[in-house]
Amino acid sequence: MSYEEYEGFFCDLDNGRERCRGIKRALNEASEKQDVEAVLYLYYLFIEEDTFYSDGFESFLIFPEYLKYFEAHPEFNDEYKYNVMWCFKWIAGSAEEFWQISLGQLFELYKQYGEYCDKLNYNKRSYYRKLWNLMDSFGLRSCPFCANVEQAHRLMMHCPIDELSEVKAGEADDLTSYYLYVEKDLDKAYKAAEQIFSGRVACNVVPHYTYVNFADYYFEHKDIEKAVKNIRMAVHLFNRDFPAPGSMMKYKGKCISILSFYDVSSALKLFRRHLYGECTNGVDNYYFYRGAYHLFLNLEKTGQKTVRLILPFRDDPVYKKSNVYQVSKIKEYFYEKAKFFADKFDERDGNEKFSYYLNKSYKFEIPQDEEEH
Amino acid sequence: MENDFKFKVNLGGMIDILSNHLYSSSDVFVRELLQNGTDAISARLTADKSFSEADAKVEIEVEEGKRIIFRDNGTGLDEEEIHKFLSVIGQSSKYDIENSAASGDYIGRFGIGLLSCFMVTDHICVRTCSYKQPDVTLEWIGMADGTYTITKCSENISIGTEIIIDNNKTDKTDSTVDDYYNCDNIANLVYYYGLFLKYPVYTLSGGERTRLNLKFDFDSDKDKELCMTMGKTFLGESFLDCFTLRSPTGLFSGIAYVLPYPVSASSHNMHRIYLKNMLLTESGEKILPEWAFFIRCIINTNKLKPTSSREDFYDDEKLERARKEIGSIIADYFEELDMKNKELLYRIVSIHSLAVKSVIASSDELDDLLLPYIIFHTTMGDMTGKDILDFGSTAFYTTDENQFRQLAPLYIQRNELLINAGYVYENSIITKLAEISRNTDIIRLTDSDIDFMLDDSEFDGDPAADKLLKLASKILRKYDCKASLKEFRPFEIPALYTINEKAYQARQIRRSKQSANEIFMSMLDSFESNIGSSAVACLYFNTNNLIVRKLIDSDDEEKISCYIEILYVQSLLSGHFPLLNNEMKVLNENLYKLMMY
Repeated sequence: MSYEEYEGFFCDLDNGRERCRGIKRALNEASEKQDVEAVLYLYYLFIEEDTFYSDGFESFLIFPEYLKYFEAHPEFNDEYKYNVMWCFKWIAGSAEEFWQISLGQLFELYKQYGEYCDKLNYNKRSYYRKLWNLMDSFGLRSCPFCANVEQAHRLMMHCPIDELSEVKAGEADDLTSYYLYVEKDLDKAYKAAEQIFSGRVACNVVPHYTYVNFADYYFEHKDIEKAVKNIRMAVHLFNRDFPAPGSMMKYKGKCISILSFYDVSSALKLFRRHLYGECTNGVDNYYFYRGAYHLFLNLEKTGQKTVRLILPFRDDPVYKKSNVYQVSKIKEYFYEKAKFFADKFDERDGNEKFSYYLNKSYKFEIPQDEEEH
Repeated sequence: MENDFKFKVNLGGMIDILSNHLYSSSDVFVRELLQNGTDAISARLTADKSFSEADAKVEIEVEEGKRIIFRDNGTGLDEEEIHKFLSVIGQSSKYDIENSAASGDYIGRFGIGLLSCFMVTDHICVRTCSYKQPDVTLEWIGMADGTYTITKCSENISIGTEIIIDNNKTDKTDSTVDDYYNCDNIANLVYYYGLFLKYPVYTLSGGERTRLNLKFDFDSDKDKELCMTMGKTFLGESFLDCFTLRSPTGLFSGIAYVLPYPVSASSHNMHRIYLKNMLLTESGEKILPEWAFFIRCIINTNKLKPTSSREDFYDDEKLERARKEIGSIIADYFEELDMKNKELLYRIVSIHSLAVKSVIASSDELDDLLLPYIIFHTTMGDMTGKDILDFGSTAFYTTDENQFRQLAPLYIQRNELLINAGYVYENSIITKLAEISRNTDIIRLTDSDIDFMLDDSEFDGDPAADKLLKLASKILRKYDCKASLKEFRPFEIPALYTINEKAYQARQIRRSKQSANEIFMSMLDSFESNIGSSAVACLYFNTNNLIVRKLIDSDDEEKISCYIEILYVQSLLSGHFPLLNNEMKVLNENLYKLMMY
């Protein structure tokens, strides 16, 4: 079968679970025909699709199979090592987002990723990038391989860019987020993001992430207007490029969160659009539920007592056939859901980062007409 | 000690970066020169009262294979302006004027456009005569290494500027450079970039003078037939329909076209988006709402801000406003169709189902209008939202396509409605439909609904049936699956396997463990142990089915055990569940046992 014929299984399907299913059908077909190259490539496509357009859990499940298949066909290793390592990189990046995986297991996984970098002749830039991202995102002061975030970042910068490095836009976004989250230096961050904002570099998730990172920074520094200005850009981009339910829930959750402090009706619209049910990725769930909690907290402040919602959780005791919920109750409900994940991550990571950001109270001065907007 | 230092700039290198790396293709030098020419004319119309728009023109003379001369009768430049504007990178003669009231007439912003000519030549010659000194003609020659000369010409040209580009590029890395020195190719590029420029653009070649651009006013009302013809000519499609795009705040104007075939959200449609009548981009991703992927458009904008390469727009508040306005215009268009041409609206929704679903998912305002037109896949065939709203009884929906496939035969037999809401946006759309529904109860299917839908078996309490159930429960325990006896149609289905999301996950994890190395195995174990008791899988035996009845009547426990495992694997296969290694083995072993019996 030609590649075009395999592509016929999924090329007309939209991104997300549907396309994943199509790629899987093509993969089964290629597997049955023992078309090794097609199998190796389709595994890659599946993981790429699931990583960016779903919650990444299925990638995690399919990757061991992919790795085993790759190793069983050494004659194709040179040609496909790039694909396998990119998938490994995505897997290592998303593994941390599942609270079920302990820190010990994570470090072992990272270690193995580093070993594969050596084995397949890649440098450790992407490995150190994973490390600083991990430590920063989960509030880890150190890890067995690095004393702190700054050291991991320094080690990353010492490694030259190679095939496993991010594309230009990704590298620029990465540096931007380092300045925003670690150094908290807005000027440096804007400098790093210059190419992104001028439109000179872009990729499938940049400038999307960049806008959210700046919004996050402003939100935490109490500048709600600038936070919202950035978040509106991000909302457009996520709606446009990641419409599939269950994809990019972490970022969509952050958008709902920030928007709800400024324009609660737009936040409610966004929430309804992406309300999807629970995915397997704990970080995605945490941020989406935290967004929902902030949304109903702010809706309650407007004096609204009830809200019409169709919850996807019909088996949940909170579900009401009337679809009308008390704002205060639904707020508590989502708080508890976010808290579940916050507790799980904090317990795993030995800190209180997730609980802190869930319980932190935010207060902003908003002009009256904007609030009503 | 504090000292001020200045960077040293390698001018040749800078020119190389700007001319060879800023732009995506060498073609843009034509656009840059057209822009310079039209901007100079706009400037002269403002500054020189004796000059009228009727006299304005840009001429391009091509000496085949050798030379191109771009000529405009704009303001021209005096010596001071040449030093200031042609020889300082980043300075534009338009800059000073930009803050004035006339700024709207200028396309360029950066003063680096001329450098793009270095992509096709090694030196640029500019002859210019300023309207302020009509008897002085100056010649500026700029080299790619960053040096330039200015001399006074003995022969005068008329007011305006000539840019002369010779085919002398020594670095022929770009093998297509020679192609630019051809009149037809230049005409095609003018046609591509400058079709709607407001001043006439001509080519002069072999003594022939040809006008290349059209007189076209984006802001005026246009005949629909003309618009459709334009769509076919410039976008290459016979569109389903078109409508006018006019910004209420003056940000843009143009025409939107409805594609006659479905496209996916990730497809990249070609548009024609003009900035001050000069083509800026063919990509509409930034200016169109994310859900408008079924639309193609020809738009002109005078107010949006281009990026430095002038090949896209800055993501700023104006762009966001333009997007919103375009969204509202499309919504108004749907509203008008709903009133005047329901048939066309139905056709559009049928073809662009996904896009329309996306519109509904993004906007509450259009729910009432568009929901009735949406088509859903159901156990009663394809039904529109209106059909479902009028159904009048209970309608179940599932957001799991696999579950729909498994259960559809049962619902069909019972003549009950099950809606497949497993595609993108449908979860959100069906919930919206449920919200507005008055006659039909639209309910999400749960495990208890499935259990409830299957009738109690007439064999309940029968000792032989109980025996079968006990044996089945014991055998299926090792597959984390419960057993139950029920009655359902069609009779031909002996057993139905149902599984909730958690149990499905557990199956996937077990499958993954078959290939996992030590590290992945330990992580998968952690996942599995955290799934907990909420994972439920059940095999319903259909006591209406002859095989199951035979099993109830049989006393041969060993034989029954074989059949139970075979029915288990068979129902997995008919539910499209990928088999685990041991399940395939079980099927083969049991078939073999029965053959040997």
